[in-house]
Amino acid sequence: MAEQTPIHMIHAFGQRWQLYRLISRILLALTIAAVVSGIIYMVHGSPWWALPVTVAALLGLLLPARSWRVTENDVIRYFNVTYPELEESAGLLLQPQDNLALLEQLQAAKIRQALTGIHPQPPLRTQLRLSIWAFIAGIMLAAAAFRWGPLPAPHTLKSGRPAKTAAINETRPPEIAAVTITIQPPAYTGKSKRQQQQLGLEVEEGATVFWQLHTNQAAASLSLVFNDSLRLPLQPTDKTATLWEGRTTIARNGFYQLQLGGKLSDLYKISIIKDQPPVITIQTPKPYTTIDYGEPQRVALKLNVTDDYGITGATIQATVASGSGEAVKFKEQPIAFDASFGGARTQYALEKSLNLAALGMEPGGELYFYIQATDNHRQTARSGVYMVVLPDTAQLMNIEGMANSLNLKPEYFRSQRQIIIETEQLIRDKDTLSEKLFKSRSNDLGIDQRLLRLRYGKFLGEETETNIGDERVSDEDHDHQSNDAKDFNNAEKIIDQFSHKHDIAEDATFFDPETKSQLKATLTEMWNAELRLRTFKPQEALPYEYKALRLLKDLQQKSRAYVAKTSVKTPPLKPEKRLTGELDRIITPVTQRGYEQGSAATDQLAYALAVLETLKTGGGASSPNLASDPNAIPGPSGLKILQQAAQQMSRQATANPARYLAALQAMRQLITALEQRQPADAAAITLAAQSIYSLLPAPARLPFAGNLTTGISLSQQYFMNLNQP
Amino acid sequence: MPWIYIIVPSLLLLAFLCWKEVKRPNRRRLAARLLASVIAVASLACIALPLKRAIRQEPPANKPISRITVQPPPGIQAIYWPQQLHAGEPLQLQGRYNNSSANPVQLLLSGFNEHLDSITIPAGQQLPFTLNTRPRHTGRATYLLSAVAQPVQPRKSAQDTLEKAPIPVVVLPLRPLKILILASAPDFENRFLASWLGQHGNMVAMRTAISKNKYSYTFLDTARFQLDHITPALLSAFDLLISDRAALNSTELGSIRTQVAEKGLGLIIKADSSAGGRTFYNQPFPLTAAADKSERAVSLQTASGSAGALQMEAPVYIQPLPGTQALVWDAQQHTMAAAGVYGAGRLVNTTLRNSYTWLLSGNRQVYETIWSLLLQKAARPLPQSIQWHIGTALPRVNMPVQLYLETAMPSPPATVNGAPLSLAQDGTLAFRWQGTYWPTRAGWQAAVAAPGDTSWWYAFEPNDWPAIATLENQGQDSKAAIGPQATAMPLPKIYFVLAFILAAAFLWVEEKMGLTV
Repeated sequence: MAEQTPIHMIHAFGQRWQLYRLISRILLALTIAAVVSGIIYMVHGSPWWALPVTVAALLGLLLPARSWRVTENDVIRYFNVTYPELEESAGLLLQPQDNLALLEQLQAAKIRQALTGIHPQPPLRTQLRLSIWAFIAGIMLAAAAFRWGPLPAPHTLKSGRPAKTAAINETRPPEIAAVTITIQPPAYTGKSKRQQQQLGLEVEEGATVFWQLHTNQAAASLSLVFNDSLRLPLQPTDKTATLWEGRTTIARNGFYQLQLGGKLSDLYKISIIKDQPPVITIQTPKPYTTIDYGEPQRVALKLNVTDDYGITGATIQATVASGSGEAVKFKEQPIAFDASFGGARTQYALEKSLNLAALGMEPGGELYFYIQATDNHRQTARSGVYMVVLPDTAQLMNIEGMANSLNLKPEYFRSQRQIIIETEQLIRDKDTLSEKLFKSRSNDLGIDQRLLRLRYGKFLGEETETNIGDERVSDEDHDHQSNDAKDFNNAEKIIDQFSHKHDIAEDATFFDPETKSQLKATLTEMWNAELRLRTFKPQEALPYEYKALRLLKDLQQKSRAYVAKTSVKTPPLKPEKRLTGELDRIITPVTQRGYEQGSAATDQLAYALAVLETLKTGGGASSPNLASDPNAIPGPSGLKILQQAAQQMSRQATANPARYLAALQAMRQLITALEQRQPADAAAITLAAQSIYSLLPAPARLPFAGNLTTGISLSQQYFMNLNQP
Repeated sequence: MPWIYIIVPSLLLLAFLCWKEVKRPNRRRLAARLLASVIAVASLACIALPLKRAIRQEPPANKPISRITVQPPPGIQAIYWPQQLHAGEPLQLQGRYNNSSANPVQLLLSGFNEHLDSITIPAGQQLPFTLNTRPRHTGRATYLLSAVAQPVQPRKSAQDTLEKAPIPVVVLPLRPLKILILASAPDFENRFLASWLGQHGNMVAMRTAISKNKYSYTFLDTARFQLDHITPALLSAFDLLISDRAALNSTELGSIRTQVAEKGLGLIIKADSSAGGRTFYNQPFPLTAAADKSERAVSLQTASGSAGALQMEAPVYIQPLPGTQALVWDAQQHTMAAAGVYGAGRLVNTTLRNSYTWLLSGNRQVYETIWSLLLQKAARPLPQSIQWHIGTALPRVNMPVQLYLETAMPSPPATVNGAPLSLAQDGTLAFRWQGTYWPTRAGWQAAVAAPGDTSWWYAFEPNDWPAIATLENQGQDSKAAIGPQATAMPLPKIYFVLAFILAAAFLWVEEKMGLTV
């Protein structure tokens, strides 16, 4: 088709391009699908994921706005970009001749000539080739994944007790045709009634279980035996006595059997799902909170309460302690949460803001509180006790014990207490002062705070730009040099002047690390206070100032030592009087005790293991210590040991049916077989031995005597001759 | 294969050198140059390769049998464990495994369907191994030792059991001991010791001096009896006497000494630093007090390993003498407890004074280990009329097994599995009898010399312990066949160095000659 019109050519080109594009999209989608299904197969081992993945990949790549479509405009743009001889005018060819201006017509004619000369290759051919390669690679990857199969599942319980929790493969007595068990969970669970066909039970604590058993033929009696002790006779409900019913409430773990006539069935487990008490998680506040003076007297309480079935209530039990010394008073009050508890929801996120003033707390008072939650089974849980302390600042401010001491501090220091007093004064005067004066006084206080901080910082070996109370510094400040003639040759003075003097090294090591860390904490508070004062926020600075003062007071208290009273002086002993007392009246103490050997039961189990070993290896002995004919079944003593072991296992199975029920069943099967003088099943022996082994405690290391063959005259003669001088 | 790393680069170097020589425009003496290159590279490679020269040495005896060198067989090459234990004793398996495969091998001790202990032998190594467990059964049981190949990639199907062998163990029930404790003052040490012993069924009688001629008596698991005077008849009822120096007065000492020396009564003395007179029980154990009296934690060790730490103040050490055996010592090898023999009896001297703190701190196992060791070292041995010994280490089916019987009985009637065993009396030791038995089936075998007293031993399958069987056979072969021995000597490297220098010198000189010509 050499003489095709340009429009036709463009159209055909566009279609071919679109086809390439479509094919490459489909191949890409299939590649992605193959790789993803291969990965899914390796992880999960199921090949059926391939179908939805393929469909999803195809839809995802082809559907969105039909992105694979190629319009004529795309073709024109491609031509214009790819072929310079078209002079960016390929678009003219598509427009009807009549619409074109003269110049455009001329250009169109020229372009038409040029177009016949080019053989356009659709773009994306390389992309097509690439996608074909990718497709092949993807298919190979998927094939490899399917060839080597899924990854092995991680071994969770590789060693240890592999068969302990193994499911009991339930075998019903042949007389039972059908079983329907209806379980009515207790009301607090909020669960509905359910039915099951198997006899093993897993029910909520307090659930009512209703058995309906169909027998093949009329049975004389049918009953359930719980834990080898309790019997529940079932009642026939039809005339042919083939449908039996019974009902009971399950309250503890264990197992049960069907008794049909005189015959007992296998054991079926009963395991209980216990109701858990609510769990309280307090997020804020911390277990011990101190609210300093100036901070808002509120505690934001935030907590989560969860339960497995439902929560019916939660309260805060708050106790406020006020007063000091012997005059401490306690006031208890429960505080309710705002949320309403319906008993249906299993999780509540609770919030409460405790207003300490409303609770009647005064400075020096303490608030203890805990959270109590109740679930719909009337089980309650309590959180730990949390404590909020409102310190008494009056205690800090008193100068008791310091009144007598001389104040040797230079006057340019203001004490932390003085700073606090002045800050409070400044806050009170705020309304009457001009803004400028207020700011300058706040700044002055900040400088005072800084000086105090630098002074304490010296004890930590901190270096400062200006050493307070250092003569050199004041000299520099006043910018005058003392040109005393007698100092003219004083080299030290000159060195002092030009050297950078570090703080005294002793200061840095004077305190023990604990004191230092507390001093550091004090300095941090001072820093914070200074920051607020310098930014003209004295109200915010106040808590930090109080904290700093409190820490300083603590430091002072620490340096005080407590000296205990010394003991009384005793008169000197008289050695001649010692041990000369009359002892006639003193009776001789005699202690006699027979320990009950708690290991008797353990010994039985230990012997049972040996009996089982004999059964397994066919060594043959009536008991582990007595010889008898080989290949025999254990005699009466061996059987008795096994029966006693079975009793102990039965006790364990009642407490933990999931773990020991299978072994107990195996043990009973074994004993029955032995009683009938039949060979025992090897698998049952292994199962029983394993469970007995796990029941036995690790033995204690005990002393024993060695052996010596007696009556050997040769040795005795040898010994006697050795002893002769 | 390290030689491949030498050969391949050498060949590459040779190819490069030859190519350079051939491409050289001046083609004079090409053959000589190529030969020199080959010699240079070959000698360089020979310097690096560990070459050996076989030397034939004539055997000392003139038996012209050639010897085939054999690889040690893979698998368990040696194994030992005590086949008879007392209740509470740990079971320890020791052996050596040769893993010649490319995968690591796990040795697994299991019993009663439970994994008890395991150890992994890395690929291509031959290592000794130790596996431990504490048997809980009483009587006979077989544990299982299996060697499982561990693939590098954990895949279920690839786990391969290489070897599997039963580990038969007989656990004997304990016979309670009868212990008499004489103390000069009440203390925690004796109180805790007595109650621990009493709780585990041992009979304990204790006399503690509380004042002048006043005693306190304690009887655990026994009826009351007179303990005021220690008589020979009283002592003969006990296995063991635990006492201290101050509690033994001179009148009682004589009868105790006779009992120990002639009747085999065990005597444990709790020594203190006070130097007493030289008596028979403290003569072999001279004491020295430590120079450092401060309180510190002393880590104690026994022959079976580290036992535990004990807080001690002013410890007293026992000086080792010939004829005594150290039982407990500290990290500096100072003996804290030692045993010796006095006549027919055993003496144990200990300077541990506050071992009860182990019990208080819940460290029961250490307490039991140390005191079990001390008590059973001293205890009067249990009289036995018959003792069996199995002479073959690993008895096998259809192989002869040597059985030894120790008894004072004249011509003892012995049966194994019900079949009578003919015993031959030993020529020098009249109480020792020897017999050979061929087990016909694997498993437990019952040896009976007196009715009601069965000694159990185990016969293995013929294909159990294959590597040990191979080694045993090799050992027997090598005893018979001592042929000329070929030993390998490393070749001197100097020849190759000379050849290399000559070849390299030729190449260098040849180039210079080519320049001048």
